[in-house]
Amino acid sequence: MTIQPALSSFAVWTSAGVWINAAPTAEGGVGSLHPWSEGPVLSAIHPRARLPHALAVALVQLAHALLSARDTVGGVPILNREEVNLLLGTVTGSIAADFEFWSGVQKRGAAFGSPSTFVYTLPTAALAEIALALGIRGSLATITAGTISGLVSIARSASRVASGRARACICGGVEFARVGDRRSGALLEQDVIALFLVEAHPGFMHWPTIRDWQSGFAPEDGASHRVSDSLPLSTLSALASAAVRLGSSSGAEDFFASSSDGHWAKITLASPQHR
Amino acid sequence: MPAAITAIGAVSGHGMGCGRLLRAVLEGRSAIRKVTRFSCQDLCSSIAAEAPSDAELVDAAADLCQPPASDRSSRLLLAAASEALQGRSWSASRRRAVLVGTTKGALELATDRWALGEMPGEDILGVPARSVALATRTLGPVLTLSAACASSAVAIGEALALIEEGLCDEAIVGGTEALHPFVYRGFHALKALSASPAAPFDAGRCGLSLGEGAVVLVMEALEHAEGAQRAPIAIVEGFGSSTDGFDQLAPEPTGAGLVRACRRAMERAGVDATAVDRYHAHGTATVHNDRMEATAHTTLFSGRPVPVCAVKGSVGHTLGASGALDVAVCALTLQRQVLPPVANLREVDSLAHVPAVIGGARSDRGRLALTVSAGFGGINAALLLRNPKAIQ
Repeated sequence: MTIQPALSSFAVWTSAGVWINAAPTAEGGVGSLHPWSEGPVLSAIHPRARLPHALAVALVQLAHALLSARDTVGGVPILNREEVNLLLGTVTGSIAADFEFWSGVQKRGAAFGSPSTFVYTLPTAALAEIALALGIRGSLATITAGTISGLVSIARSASRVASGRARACICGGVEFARVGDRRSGALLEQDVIALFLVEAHPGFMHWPTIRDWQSGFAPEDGASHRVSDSLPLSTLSALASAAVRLGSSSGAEDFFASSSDGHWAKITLASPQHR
Repeated sequence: MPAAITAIGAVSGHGMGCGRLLRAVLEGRSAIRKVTRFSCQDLCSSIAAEAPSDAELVDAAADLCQPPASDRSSRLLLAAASEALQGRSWSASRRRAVLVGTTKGALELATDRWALGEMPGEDILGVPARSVALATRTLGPVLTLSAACASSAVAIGEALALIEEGLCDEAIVGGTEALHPFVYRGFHALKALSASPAAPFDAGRCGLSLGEGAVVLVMEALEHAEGAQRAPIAIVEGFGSSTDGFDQLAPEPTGAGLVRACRRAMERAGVDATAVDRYHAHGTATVHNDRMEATAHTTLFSGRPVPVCAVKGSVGHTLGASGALDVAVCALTLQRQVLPPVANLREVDSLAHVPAVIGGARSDRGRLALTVSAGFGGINAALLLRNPKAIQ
């Protein structure tokens, strides 16, 4: 029996604000994440935190909001976090921490790099902080496929759930390249964290289903697939908005995104009653 | 559904090719020696297992007919790919995937730009995978996986998934990591480097030694390999992964997370621990890792003395490439029915007591092997490999 993957919750944080299971109403301009004054206090949700990087703090806060939103839904059992996977797409990876560590070594000397910053030069370190804080014990990795990495992570997560390899996956995109007022990379102008929870559809919920997912690489033949060079923020915001629409109406929507270096992905999101 | 490994290419501290790697590992030789590529002045160690020069790497990859790669990680990966892909012609195909595990990708492209006061505009992590995809005209998924020191093991797991799902007939999968002063200084900052060559599970060990290298495997659906009359070197039967949720650096001391990953791999393959004949350890030679693995081994096998192999005393810790390197050594030695010794191991630590293979290689008729990876962030991964003779 094939399991139908569904998108049960999402949380999007951009330079314009934070949206939990609500359609992002503004994309914001160039810049860092919007201050989230009403967000959860780190010490309350992660008492064991030790010098976490700014990205890790933001990820823990947003993941906490995502899982809280999911677990307050009536009629479905609370997720067993030991079975939740973390697979986030990123093209910028750990570049902000990389730049901080590199700058520190340039300033203080080769033997005086900051160990607490070096920890976060692994792209998965900020995700591991989510596991530490929120009790997640499934697999954990980042996936990179150009600027559409976030969409690819959702496609691969849908595949894991459909095949029974995972009960639930936190997926989506995380792009964070700012160190204070400075940027460490020129690939993307906007920082964004967009988390989606993909899990098996229980049948009776109004969660949009992920009906189809594909990805590939077409460096020379891209024009036949390519709608435009897709940026993580616009792609993932559009997906979040569609999830809201399809949760309350019938229909299906295709999302196609591609990167200038040839990666492409397509996801079909459908309302649960759509055939 | 299992998948076949039908070709392997490797570049390591022992030089170019699987042959050199295998001979050195079986002889218990270590490639860990004084670093030549950058200064280690004022650092707590000055040794590592360095791979061949950039010029040799470019030469080795010449038959792939690609422009020379702009970064060392891609050069390492392309040189390994050249060996693995030898004798095959590659038509453009959407039924082929490329998956690469790495922690830092083409990091030097970023540090070079920063040194000039500029910002990198490249997809730093994805550069090596794209270079192999272009060389092989791959049109299926081209993915870079990062999961700390389990990165390339996770990439192999993802390749198995793509084949199981029927999305691909074959996957070119591997790992790559270049030795970069940035990373060396980071491990110095963490006080994790040993001044003497790493000696996994040894009573006198005092930390890890870094290495660099790349491994490329060709994995295929069994019927695809059979149709092309390519004999499997090994069969990948299952993959499992988990997260400790214990600490960013130290593993969970009881090894519960690693055991969970191993059990998930065995469950996918439909076997239990009593069927496993050998265990290829992560074996970093840090006290935390080795003791955790010894405890996990006891739990997993209920005290049964399943032989333990480990390669990091021979090739150093190649970080994101280490999972694929372990799989390559496991597959090649499983096929030859031999257990490689743990290089630099003289006397097993009584607090990390494992039935390690000490001294020299020994023959072994075992058919099923577990290879494991355990990385920072508490990430664990396990792959179950079978000698193909066992299913004929």
